[in-house]
Amino acid sequence: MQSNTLSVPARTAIEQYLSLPSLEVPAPYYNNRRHKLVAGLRALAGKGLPEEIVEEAELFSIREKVNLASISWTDKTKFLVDHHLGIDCSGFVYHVLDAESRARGAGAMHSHISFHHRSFLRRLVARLRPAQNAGAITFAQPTNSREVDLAEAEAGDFIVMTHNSDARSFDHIILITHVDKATTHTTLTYTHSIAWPSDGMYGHGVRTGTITVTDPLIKLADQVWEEHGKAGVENYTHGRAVKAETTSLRRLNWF
Amino acid sequence: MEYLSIAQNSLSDQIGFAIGACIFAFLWAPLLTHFLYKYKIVRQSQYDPSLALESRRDKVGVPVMGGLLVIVTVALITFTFNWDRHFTWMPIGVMLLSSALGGIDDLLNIFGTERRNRKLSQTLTLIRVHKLWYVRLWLIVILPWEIFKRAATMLSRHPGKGVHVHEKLLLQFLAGAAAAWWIYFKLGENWRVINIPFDGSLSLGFWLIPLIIFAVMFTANAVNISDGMDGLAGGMLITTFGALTLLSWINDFSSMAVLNATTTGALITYTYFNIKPARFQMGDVGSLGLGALLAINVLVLKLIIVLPLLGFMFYVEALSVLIQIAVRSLFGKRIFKMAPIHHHFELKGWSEEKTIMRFWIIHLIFVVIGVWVAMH
Repeated sequence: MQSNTLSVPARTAIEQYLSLPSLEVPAPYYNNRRHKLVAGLRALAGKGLPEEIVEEAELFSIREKVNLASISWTDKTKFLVDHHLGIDCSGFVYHVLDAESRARGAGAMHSHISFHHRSFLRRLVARLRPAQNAGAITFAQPTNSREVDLAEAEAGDFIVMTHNSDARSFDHIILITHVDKATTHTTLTYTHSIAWPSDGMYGHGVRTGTITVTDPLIKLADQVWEEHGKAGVENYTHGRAVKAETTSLRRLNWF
Repeated sequence: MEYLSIAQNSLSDQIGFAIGACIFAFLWAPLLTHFLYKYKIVRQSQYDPSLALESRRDKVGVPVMGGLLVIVTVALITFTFNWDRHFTWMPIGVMLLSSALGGIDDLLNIFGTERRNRKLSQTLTLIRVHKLWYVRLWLIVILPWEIFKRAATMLSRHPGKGVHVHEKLLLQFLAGAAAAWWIYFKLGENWRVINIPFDGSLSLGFWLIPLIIFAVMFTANAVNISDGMDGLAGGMLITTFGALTLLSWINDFSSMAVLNATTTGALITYTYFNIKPARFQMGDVGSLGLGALLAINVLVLKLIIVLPLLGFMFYVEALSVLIQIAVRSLFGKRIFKMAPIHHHFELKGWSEEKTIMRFWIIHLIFVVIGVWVAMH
């Protein structure tokens, strides 16, 4: 069996999102589209690093006289969600790929990634705040990434689901963290930040899943997806992949 | 010999004024405390997130506007014994103007009602949709002012009950402009050049006017920002005004030396009562006034080049706020756990006393360097 995995710094970054330092709860899913925070802290816009999310949580706890060390796991998660602290899909992928890019000696993400805004001001803002402006569509741009065949999947590739026909959904991005190639099939382990409708108010966040590729010639959305113990129609992530107008496996141009 | 005797007498006068101001402030401090408690001019917690810190909760309910002790003492003694049409009236005038602004802010923060600024997007919408053409026209006319207001709120934590940032900036600009007018047009051509240590002097021409306005506004706000811990601003101001007394004595500005000595004396009494646990706090009434007085003092002594050293920690505090805002707005990150920087150290685990003492010492070192530089 052939295996391929992310570098240690990238894996550490994922682990920190899966269990935030000192809080020991996974980072919840938070997307700024609803609250539209402008010119604020990126940790409050769903784009922060794990330590930034924890620092903001600690500052909120000081102001509100909450002892985070003494409250339960559920209450910590509630505290984070209620204070709009969390990470969205592209913010999560940006920071993990940033760690991976540095570990591979390619330098930081912000020195490679390009933004296609027409106005000078928008381009300037994107340069200053790359993590906040790199959405799933940015990753999917040909100047940033190229499509790869399923048979050639590697850790560090990502799946972008764009122009979802479901109006309530946003574009989504999933990061491949580990690839196991057996003779009969290939297993892609992925991580992403997502909120399933069945998660309720507080059950969402960064989580992992697998895609079992039995036939690399058929579409990615038609492979076997399993996450959170659910497969088939019960798997919301798979449902989004099926409904998306395009679901493609891509790799950064500098990887 | 005769010159030495005059210098000794002058120094003796300054020490006398410092002692006199100190004693006078001690005498009426209980009256001020009683007045502040009686009218409940005390610190409120609703707009100050720093008061949520465990170590700072005891500050809620402590009287503010304790800076009146210094402002009133200095103004009364100067009016009575040191009134000099050439030198002291404008520094005192600018100090009182800034103090009045600070006093109004302090009082509105306690007794005022909530005021909200209209968002820029709301104004733009009204310009498009308002049914009356003259209202639309008026909104277009005032649009630059609305933009200024919104931009100013970026510097503010809370557009709440007190004087809003755009109003403060405008009034401080007026105080700075008054100082600039006086220095540039009234003091004469000698004051249009600034001393450059080790290198003679430099004539700035009309550029001196914006420089004076900026120095007065920035220093007043810097001292205001530093007034966040018991004894912090008071202790650092003693060092700075003590140094200014020395410099004005060396440079033979006797009335300014007396004014600075009086301020130092009054500040000693203020700091005595302000040391933790504070009997009262300075409030904007004191910090804005003393900050403006500090800036104008240095300008009169033609020592603006050493102002960053004489007010070192005040500028560090002010810059920490500006850096925090700039980095947050531009990069979405946090440099300090909380700004101004003294709260950052508090959150890092330093006790209030340790932070204050260290800030005092660092400030003292830079003030001494400033005095040394100014003497060259």
